[in-house]
Amino acid sequence: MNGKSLNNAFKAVAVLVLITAVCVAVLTVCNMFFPKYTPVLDAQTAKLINGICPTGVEDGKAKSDGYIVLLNDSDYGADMSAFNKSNKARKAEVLAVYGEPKGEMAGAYIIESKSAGRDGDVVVLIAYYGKRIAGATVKKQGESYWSKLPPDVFEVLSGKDAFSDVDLQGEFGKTGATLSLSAIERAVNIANKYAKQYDMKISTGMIESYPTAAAQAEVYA
Amino acid sequence: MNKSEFKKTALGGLTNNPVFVLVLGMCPTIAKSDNIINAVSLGLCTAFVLICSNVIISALRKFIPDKVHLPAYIVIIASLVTFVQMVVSSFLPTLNDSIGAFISLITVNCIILGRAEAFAGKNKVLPSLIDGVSMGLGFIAAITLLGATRELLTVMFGSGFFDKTMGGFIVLGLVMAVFNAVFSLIKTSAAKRAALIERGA
Repeated sequence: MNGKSLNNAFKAVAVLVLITAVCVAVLTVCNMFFPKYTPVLDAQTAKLINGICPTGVEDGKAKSDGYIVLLNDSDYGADMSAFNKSNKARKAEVLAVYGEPKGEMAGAYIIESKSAGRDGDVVVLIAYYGKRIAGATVKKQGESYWSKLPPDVFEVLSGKDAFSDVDLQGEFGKTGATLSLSAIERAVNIANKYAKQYDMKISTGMIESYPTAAAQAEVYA
Repeated sequence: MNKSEFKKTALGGLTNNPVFVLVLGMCPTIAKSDNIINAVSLGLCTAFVLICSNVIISALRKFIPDKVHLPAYIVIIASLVTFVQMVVSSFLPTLNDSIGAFISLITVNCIILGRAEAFAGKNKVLPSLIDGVSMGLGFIAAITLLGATRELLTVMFGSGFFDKTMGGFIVLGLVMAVFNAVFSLIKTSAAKRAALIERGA
């Protein structure tokens, strides 16, 4: 290899690196200006929550009459972004906590979490009642092989311990939708970990003011 | 760019239609032409990437060394596709749910890389822009025509065949055959008319 061809090779690599760096920089800047996903208690979410954790009233009323509420960090003294930051290695995030201050399962709380599947984020809702998972469902997914998942993938979660990791991969084995299943598993596990913190705050009396916490304390009593 | 070159480039989307003549980008064309909304949306996303990549690649053609031109083109196209995906997932989440997986695949769509390699990498910015617009419109027209035909057939004969891949292949073949037959008739009659005019002169 003579000096000229070495020079050309360096030039080629440098140009490629420069183009890549510019593209990455432009995308990073663009990303800062795009709106981020913010969980809201809309009609669809209320319906899903009412499905996994029944309030005893119809979906519309459950939302409008405060049977289901979206909790803020300040309601239960938690810092969700700090939690997500410290659990980055789990490749999943907690997005929101909803509460059921009244109704058939008063005191239940529902955690919305997400993890990356094969074709984007899989967002799930997991309901907790009396230190157990009361139910779970998917809120959003765009997975190509979703239909290959076992039909009872969410049903098996009901009744499981709220604070331990679940092993859906081990439970179902080969499904044909491994990436989607592991996304659900990661999302449930991060929600369980968050639920543990939330529950600890209730049991130690750190949360008193919020009605959900009072109802939850009653469930435990 | 003279008038005849402009005409040739501007009509490229019709005379060299990427779907019906060049038979490129078949995977998304068949997969997402099951209804008209998906077809138009994917067509628009692809056209946007095609036009922008043509312009950028053409502007950088003298700067990109020959040895790395393909990887450089792919980086540029992939960045544009990522941008489109960010826009669609942020502002059109419902659309993202239906065509999201195929937006990422625009990166490896042969139409885009093909135009970058065959045209944008060798021509100035303006002709490349015209080529991108022409080819993009040609792709949108083709995929929309296919989507409309499949949706109409699905409404007429019920779902389960024309909205599935096998039906897509058959409809694509039929529409392609009709397009090429009509186009060759037009070309033949135009050639005959030109010959007559020449003889008359």
